Amino acid sequence: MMNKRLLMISVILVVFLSAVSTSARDIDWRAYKGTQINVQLAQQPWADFIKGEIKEFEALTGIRVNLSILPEDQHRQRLAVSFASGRGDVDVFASQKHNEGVRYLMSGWYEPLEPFLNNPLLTPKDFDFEDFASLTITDATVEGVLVGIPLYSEVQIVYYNKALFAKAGINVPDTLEELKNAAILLTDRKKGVYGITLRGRGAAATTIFSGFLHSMGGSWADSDRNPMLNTPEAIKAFEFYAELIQLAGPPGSVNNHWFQCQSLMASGKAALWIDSNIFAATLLESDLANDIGFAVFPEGPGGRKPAGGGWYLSIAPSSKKQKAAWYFIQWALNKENVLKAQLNGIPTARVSAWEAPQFKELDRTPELTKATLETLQLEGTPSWGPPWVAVGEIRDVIGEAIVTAIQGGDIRSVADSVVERIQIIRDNTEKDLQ
Amino acid sequence: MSGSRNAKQIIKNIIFRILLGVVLLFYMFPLLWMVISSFKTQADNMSVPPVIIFQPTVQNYINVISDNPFLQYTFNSFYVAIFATGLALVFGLPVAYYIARFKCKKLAIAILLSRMMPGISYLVPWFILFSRLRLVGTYTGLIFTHLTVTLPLVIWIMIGFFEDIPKSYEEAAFLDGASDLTCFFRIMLPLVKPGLVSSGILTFIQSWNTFMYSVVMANHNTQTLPVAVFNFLSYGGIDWGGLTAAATLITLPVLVLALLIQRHLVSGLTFGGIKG
Amino acid sequence: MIFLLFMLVFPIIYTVWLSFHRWFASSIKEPQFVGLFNYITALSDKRFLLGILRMLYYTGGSVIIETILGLIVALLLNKEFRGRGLIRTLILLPMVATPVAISLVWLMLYDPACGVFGWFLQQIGLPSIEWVNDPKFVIPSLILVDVWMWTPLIALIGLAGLSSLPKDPYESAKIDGANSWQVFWFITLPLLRPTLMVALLFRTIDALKWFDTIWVITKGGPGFSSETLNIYIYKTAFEYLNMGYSSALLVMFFSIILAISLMLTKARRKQW
Repeated sequence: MMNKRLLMISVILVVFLSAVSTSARDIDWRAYKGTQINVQLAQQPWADFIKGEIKEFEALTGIRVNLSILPEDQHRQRLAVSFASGRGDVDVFASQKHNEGVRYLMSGWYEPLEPFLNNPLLTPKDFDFEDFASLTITDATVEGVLVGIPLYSEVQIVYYNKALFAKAGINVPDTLEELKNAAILLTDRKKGVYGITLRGRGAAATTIFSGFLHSMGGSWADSDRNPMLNTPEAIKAFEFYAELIQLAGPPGSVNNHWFQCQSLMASGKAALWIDSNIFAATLLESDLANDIGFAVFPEGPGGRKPAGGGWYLSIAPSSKKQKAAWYFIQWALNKENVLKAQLNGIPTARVSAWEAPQFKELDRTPELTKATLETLQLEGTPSWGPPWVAVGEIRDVIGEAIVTAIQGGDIRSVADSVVERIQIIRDNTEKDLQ
Repeated sequence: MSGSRNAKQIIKNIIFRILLGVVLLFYMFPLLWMVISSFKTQADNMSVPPVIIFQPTVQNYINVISDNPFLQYTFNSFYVAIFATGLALVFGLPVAYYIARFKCKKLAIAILLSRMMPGISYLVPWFILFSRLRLVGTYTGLIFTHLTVTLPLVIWIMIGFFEDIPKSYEEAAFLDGASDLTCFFRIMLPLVKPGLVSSGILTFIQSWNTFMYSVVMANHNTQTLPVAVFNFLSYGGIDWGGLTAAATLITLPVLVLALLIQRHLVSGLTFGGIKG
Repeated sequence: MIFLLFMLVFPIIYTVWLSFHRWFASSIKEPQFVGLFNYITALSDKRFLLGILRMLYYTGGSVIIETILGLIVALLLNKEFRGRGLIRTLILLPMVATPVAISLVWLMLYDPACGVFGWFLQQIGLPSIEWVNDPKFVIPSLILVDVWMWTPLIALIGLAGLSSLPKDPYESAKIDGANSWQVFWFITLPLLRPTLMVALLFRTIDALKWFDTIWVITKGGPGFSSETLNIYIYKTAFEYLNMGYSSALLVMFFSIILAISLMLTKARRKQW
């Protein structure tokens, strides 16, 4: 009798212990060896970083990664065309809520990630999803569905050239007014030095415009998503953005995307640049690395409202290799790799990376860290992009208005026609897409 | 009198030479600049005023070929262009022969019409159809769309060549008891061989250069050179050396081919319009 | 043959059918019949209407300049001189070179920071313009690229025409004592007209639907300032994925091309 009970207890104990050891044990990394997955990313510092690490993933899992890195515009177009055509040739892809979010979700182009995340056979325990900053998780959640694992703690910040500021003997601007004055003061057209470089290329410029719009007290839309781009605040923002470029920007600004701005910054031809913080890493490799400073977005009449919202990695529902695809995502964004990226100057999404003693010690850009963290503390960060479903077309329309403003066109009438046009696009698209 | 006339002649001659020089400079400059820039370092390319004397480097070419699956894209381009040309010849020759022999005007006009259609009006319906068939991104889909360019071209050029053959050749063959097919293969084809070569090369060039179809229909693995090079554009303003090196590499084969068939190029490009 | 007809006819029928529907390539729903809705939308769509104007501007500009320059080059090359064959061969190259590659080179030439053109203008004391970065100059700059690529075609066609001209009218003109300008205006040009009209027709059609260099160099920018109809339709279809609307635009686009070519063909007949 006694013996039997003992046996039972020991059986229970064994079962219990083995269960514990399973959950503690690592997942089977070789489960999908021999699979080949296609990963499509936009050209950014993180993409360059992960390109160098992929060999390790292939060795660990035996999964072959076919990495395709395209410039942002081409990346977006190819993704949309690829999904619209239903060809299952993209397994993992990077996208951004304000651009792809709602439309992709409605079209069924995002695979919900919760099931993968919660499956102990696919996700090792030390992946620790809680470690991702809550703001970044919000960025990767569309209408309550977790559609991606965040890559960045991405916010709009100020890049500036310390040497040029020191020479002119002025401080880093803290208000929009100061920003304008500094930019004008630092412009020396004869020497080919410009006070500020900002994106001017239509749709791409809307992203950077967002921070200016909201700091002027404006907004993309009201709570019913009616466009608010012809309010006095919005018009002031258009004027301000255009004036900055007219008075202190380089020639050809209306065609500049972030990479042109970045190269102007890297060659010392621009004193200020306002853009996303994720592009810092490339500048750290330039000759001027030590001259580049970082600051929080300046305050305007409507407060300090730099835009934010980061890229994330998702799985395509049309993919036939979703589990292997998930392996790639959870490996690429595990604690170790994220820390490595963080040490390379990339503002990642994991709290542990920001707080790692290693990072605090080796941080090459404490100023960038400070500016990013301070920005993240701000309340009510606006989105990079307008909130409508047909965001691609609407971004083009708003971008055209920015170009017109830079060219010195009549901003008021342009703004009115933008609002009118957005209403038409909404009428024609939102019904069907929703 | 004769002296002043001579002087006038000389001045005329000089003006003529200068004009000729200007024309030549205008046409050659961009191509030359492309080749020159591809051997320059980034610093040399960015310098203002432009540097004329510089230390040439092949680093750009090495970068382009080693950083990208450039060979894969070259293979794609060749693969697609060869099939698009081959199939166009296979389908196009009989049609051209038919039109030439039976003076089928309506069909000829239909083909001319197809030349007038903007490429995008093929692309939209084909894209939708191919999406349903899951052919977007495959070589098959790509080749098929290229056919919309190459097929009418082959037909139109070859009509001219078939028309030039005197009817008596055929009649002689029929008298000898040859069937339609043998007549076509044994007698007609050898007679239009020069046309075959030049229309083949011309279609190859057209397919090689085709951009819009390839952007939409190709994926990462099947993209052709023009698409791949277009994607270098992110470095716009950053790596001009690499860009021009890539541009030189894709243009080179076409230029060589074009020189081979220069005689037929013009009539081919105007779609045989000059003959008519 | 059936294959051929299918290839040509299917797109037309399908496009027309789709143009009466509302359908996005991203939507899971089937196309929904909306009647003439897409066409009515287009009529008040500024981007569409301005796209037509830009297309006409681009085409008109290119074709006119190309014809005049082409004729001049043809007359130059019609003379006997050493190296004529070589030059004839060399000017063939622009029109076969891969348009995407060529666009990249021009993009570099136009670059505001390191472009040779800007530098050159400065050297000869002209104010530098921003070429493709300036909405006012972007279409002329694109026309220049088109002129570079396609003038040789007109020149070579003209040359072929010149060499096949009959000799008699020239001899009688010589006897009448006409100067070379008169000879050109009253004899050469009328004789050349049929050939030139064909060349013009083809150039016009091609310019109306030209895509490659515009897309690579400007993508229709800055803003929409170089967005020709073709570019707008491409964006509607493959960036906005609005297939129904783009089909309606396509139908109108094709009608415009057809109308223009018919007009040109008629004009050609009259001259004969």
